[in-house]
Amino acid sequence: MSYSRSRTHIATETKYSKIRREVIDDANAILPVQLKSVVSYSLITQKAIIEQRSWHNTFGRRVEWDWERDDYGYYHFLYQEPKRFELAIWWREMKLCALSLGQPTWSGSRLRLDFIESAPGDNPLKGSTFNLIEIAARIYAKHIDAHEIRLMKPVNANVIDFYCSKGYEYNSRGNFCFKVLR
Amino acid sequence: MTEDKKRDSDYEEFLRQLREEIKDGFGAVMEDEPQVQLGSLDLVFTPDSELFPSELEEYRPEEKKLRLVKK
Repeated sequence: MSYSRSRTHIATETKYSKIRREVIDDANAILPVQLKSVVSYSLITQKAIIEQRSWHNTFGRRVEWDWERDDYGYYHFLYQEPKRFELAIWWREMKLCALSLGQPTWSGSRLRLDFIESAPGDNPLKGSTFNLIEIAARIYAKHIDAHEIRLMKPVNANVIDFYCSKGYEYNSRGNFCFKVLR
Repeated sequence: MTEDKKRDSDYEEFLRQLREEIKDGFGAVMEDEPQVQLGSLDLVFTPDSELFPSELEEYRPEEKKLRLVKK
């Protein structure tokens, strides 16, 4: 499949690629000492794409969907969303523990996280992946001057409760959980 | 101080505060952390799907078929 991109798109992609790399570097740099030796952030690399294939049909995976889809998955964001937020979290640089995708709102004042998934099955970071993702999201939001993070369409009341326990509020009209950043 | 330097200084302070906030880790592991959050997809579930036990009943019990619907 070919995608033609305008000069504006390419310029935006270049600018935000730099931001994404800085976010990864800074997120890795500020990890607590006890995590730094085993946890690392990266962009969604080819290695991450290949690793997530093992998530398919794994017991404990809540929904069978495909990160590689180019109509709604990573490749859609890669080719169509130059301002995207993208993240992979690794254990000992070998085991993929989480992926996340998002993008700024149209005005740029808010960062929405559209996709968050923890590795199903055996995941050494289970229970901590959202905290780790949120760190990187906050750094990205700082870079783009966004003052709010939105978690779009929480799937049920338990998930809403979980996010509320992390300091988010639920907006029922828009069906998202949000946190205003300092 | 130039605008760029002020922005850098503000960013460095932000990172310092964030580092301080998380330096002791995240506390207890969240047992109820959701495995997946797929906000941009319209997902349809069935009550008898093995993937989703009791929470299906409060979500969309009327649906007949498990499928992934692109928004």
